Amino acid sequence: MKLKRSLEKIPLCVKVLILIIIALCFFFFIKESDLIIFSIFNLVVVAITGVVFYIIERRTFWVTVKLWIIGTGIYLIFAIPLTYFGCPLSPFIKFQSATNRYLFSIFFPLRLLVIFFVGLIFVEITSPIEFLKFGKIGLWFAFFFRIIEYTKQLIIETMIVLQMQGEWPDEGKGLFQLREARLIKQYAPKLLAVVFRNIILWFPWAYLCFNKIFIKIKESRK
Amino acid sequence: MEYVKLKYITSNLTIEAEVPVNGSKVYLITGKEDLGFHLIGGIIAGLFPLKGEIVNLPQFGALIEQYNGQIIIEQGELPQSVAYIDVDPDRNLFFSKVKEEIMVQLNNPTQQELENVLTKFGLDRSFLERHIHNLSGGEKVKVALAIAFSLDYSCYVLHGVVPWLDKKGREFLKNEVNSAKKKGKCIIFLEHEFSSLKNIIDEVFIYNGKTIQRSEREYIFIDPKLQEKLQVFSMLKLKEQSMSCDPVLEFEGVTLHNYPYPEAVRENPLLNGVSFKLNFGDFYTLIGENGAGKSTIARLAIKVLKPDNGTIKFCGNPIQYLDRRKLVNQICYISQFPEQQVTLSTIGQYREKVISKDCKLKQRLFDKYFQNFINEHPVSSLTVFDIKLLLLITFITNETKLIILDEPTWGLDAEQQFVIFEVLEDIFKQLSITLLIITHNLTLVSLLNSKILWLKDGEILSFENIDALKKYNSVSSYFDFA
Repeated sequence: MKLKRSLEKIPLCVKVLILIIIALCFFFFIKESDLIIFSIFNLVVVAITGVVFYIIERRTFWVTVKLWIIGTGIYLIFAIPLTYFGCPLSPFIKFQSATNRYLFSIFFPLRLLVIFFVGLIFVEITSPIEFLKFGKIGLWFAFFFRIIEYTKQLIIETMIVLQMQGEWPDEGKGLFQLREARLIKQYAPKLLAVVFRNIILWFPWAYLCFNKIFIKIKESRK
Repeated sequence: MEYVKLKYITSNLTIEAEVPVNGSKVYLITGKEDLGFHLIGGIIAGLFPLKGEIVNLPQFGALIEQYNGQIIIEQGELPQSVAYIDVDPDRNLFFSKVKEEIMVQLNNPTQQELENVLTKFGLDRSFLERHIHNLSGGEKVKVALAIAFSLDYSCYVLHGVVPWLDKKGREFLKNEVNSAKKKGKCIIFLEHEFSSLKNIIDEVFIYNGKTIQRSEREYIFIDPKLQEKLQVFSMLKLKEQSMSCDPVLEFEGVTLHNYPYPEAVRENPLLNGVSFKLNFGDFYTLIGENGAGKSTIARLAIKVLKPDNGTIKFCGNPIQYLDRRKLVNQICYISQFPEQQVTLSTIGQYREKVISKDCKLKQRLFDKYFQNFINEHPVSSLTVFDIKLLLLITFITNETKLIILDEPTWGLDAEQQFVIFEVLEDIFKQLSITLLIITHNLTLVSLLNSKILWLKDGEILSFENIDALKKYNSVSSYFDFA
C-alpha cells in the first residue's frame, strides 16, 4: 500500500509522460543491430513493472498474466510459421539474420506485456478526477479513463460469475492444469463478450452521469 | 397544492402522472413495479428525456430508447434542482473511490467537509479511501444519500433506497428527511417496502402501470395476498429432520481479515471465527448491519472466496476439495446484483440451456413464466424481477440442496414478490432443499418463520425464530420490529 500511495502522489503530467515514453519505446524498434540490447532492456522493464504491478494489485496481475499467456499461445501458433517462411515482421525493419527474426518474434509478446503492465499501473495509481482540471477535454479523458477502470473491474466480476457457473477455473488453479486450461480456452470468448455487452449497457447511464457532472462544473465556474 | 401534470411517451410506454412537488412535504409513490415506475424518478429529476450528443448516436438508439421519450408538461413545472438516487446502488456513484465522488459532487471540499458528508449517515473517515466497487450495496446507498443531503436541492427523489438500509441507516435517513422538510424541500420516495417510513410520510400516491394518482384510502403496509403466500410457504419446511444427516452447510471458526477492501487494513477481522450450521430442509435468514459481511458469507459458501482460517463444509465435505461442477449443481445462488450473473444474451439461449438439462421442474417453470418471450428477446431489456426469476429457474437442478438468495425482495413490488415465492413453493414441493435468505426485511423474516443468523461484529448469533431474537439484549438498537 505504501508503494501505491507514493506512486499516486506523482503529478499527473509526469505519469502521462512516463506512460507515453514506455509506449513509444516498445511500439517502435529502431535497428536490427540493437536487437539484443533492446531485448535485454525489454526483460528488465518487464521484471520491474511486473514486480511493481504484483505489489500494488495482485489479483489483476494474475488475470493479466493468464490472459497474456493465452494470447501469446495463439500468437505463437501463427508467428512461428510466418517467421519460418520469412514474412515481414515489422513495417519499420527488414531482418537480415534468421536468429534475429526469431528473437524479434519471440520477444514481441513481451513488448506487449510491458505496455499492459505500464498501462495498468497507470490506471491503478491515477484517479479520474485528476483530469477534471483540464475543462471539457479533461472531463472526456476522465470519462474514458473511467471506462478503462470499469472494464478492468468488469473482467474480474465476470470471471467470478463464470466461476460460480462452473465456466472458469477457481482462483489458484489455472493454465497448467489440463481441465482448467480447457475451461479458459472455451470460455475466454464468452468472458470478453459479456464484458463488452455490460460496458455497452453501462455506457448510456455513465454518459448521463458525466453530462450532469459536466453541467454542474460549468455552472460552478460561471 | 403544487402538482406537475405530465405525459411521458416512448414507443412502447405512456405514463400519465400528477406528481406532487410541494415544498415541506414527504410523498410516497408506490404500486406496480415496471419500466414506467423505474423511469418516474428520472423524469421528475429531469434526467429523461436525455439531452446532449448521445441522443444523436444511432449505435445507442435501442439502448436509450426508454430514456429518450417525449415529455409533455400539461400543468406546473418540474423542480429546478433535484437529487435523484436510483434503486440500483451502482448507478449513483460514478467514480472509483468514495473520496473522489465527494470531491467532484461537492466541488473540492476541505478535508473537514469531506468527513462531515460521511458522518451524516454514520460512516467513518476510513470510507474516504475505499473503492466504491468494494462497498456493500447498503454502504453504496448510504454514501449516495450522504452526498445528496449535503447538497442544496429543492427536491429529493429517493427510489428504492429503504430495503438497502439497516436500522441505523433508516434512522439517519429519517433525520435527514425531516431536516430537509423543515427547510422547505420536497422529498419523494418511490418504494415498495415502506413500513419503516410510516411516521414521516405525508401523502401516498399509487402508480397502476399507466397513471399516478393520490391514494384516498389508508395505505397497506403488507400485501395480504403476499402475507398469505409467505405463511403457506413457511409450512414447507421439513418438519422432521434426520439427525443422522450431515448439515448442508457448516462454517467452523471461519475468519476473514481484509476482504472486501484490501486497500485499508481493518482493526478487527470482517469475519472473526464465524461458526454455524444449516440443517437439511430448513429455512434460515441471515441478517446484520450494512457492511457486516452477509454477502461475503454467501461468497465463501459458494467457494469464490477462501477464508483465512477455519473450515467450510458442504454436506459434510470440506468445500475446498469439492469439484466446482458438483457445487454448481447443488447450490443455487442469486446475488444482490442479479444482472451481473447474466452471461447469455437472449431468452432463446436460456431456453436452449433449460431444454438441454434433464430437469422437468426447470423446464415446466421456464415454460410457465417465459412462454410469452420470443427467443430473440434480449436479456438486457428484462426487469430486475424477470432477471431474478430467470436466474432462479435456470440455476435449479435435480441435485440442488441449498438455495441462497441475497436481498431477494429489493426492486420488487408485492405481486412480484408473490411470484418469486410461488416459484420457490413449487421448487420446495418437488425437492428437499435448505433455504438461506440474506435480507434487511424483518417482516419477511417473521412471516417465513425462519431460523435467524445474526452477523454481529464478525460473529454469528443464532436464534430459533424472530421471537427469540426480540428477547436478545439491546436488539432494538439494531433492528426495527415495527
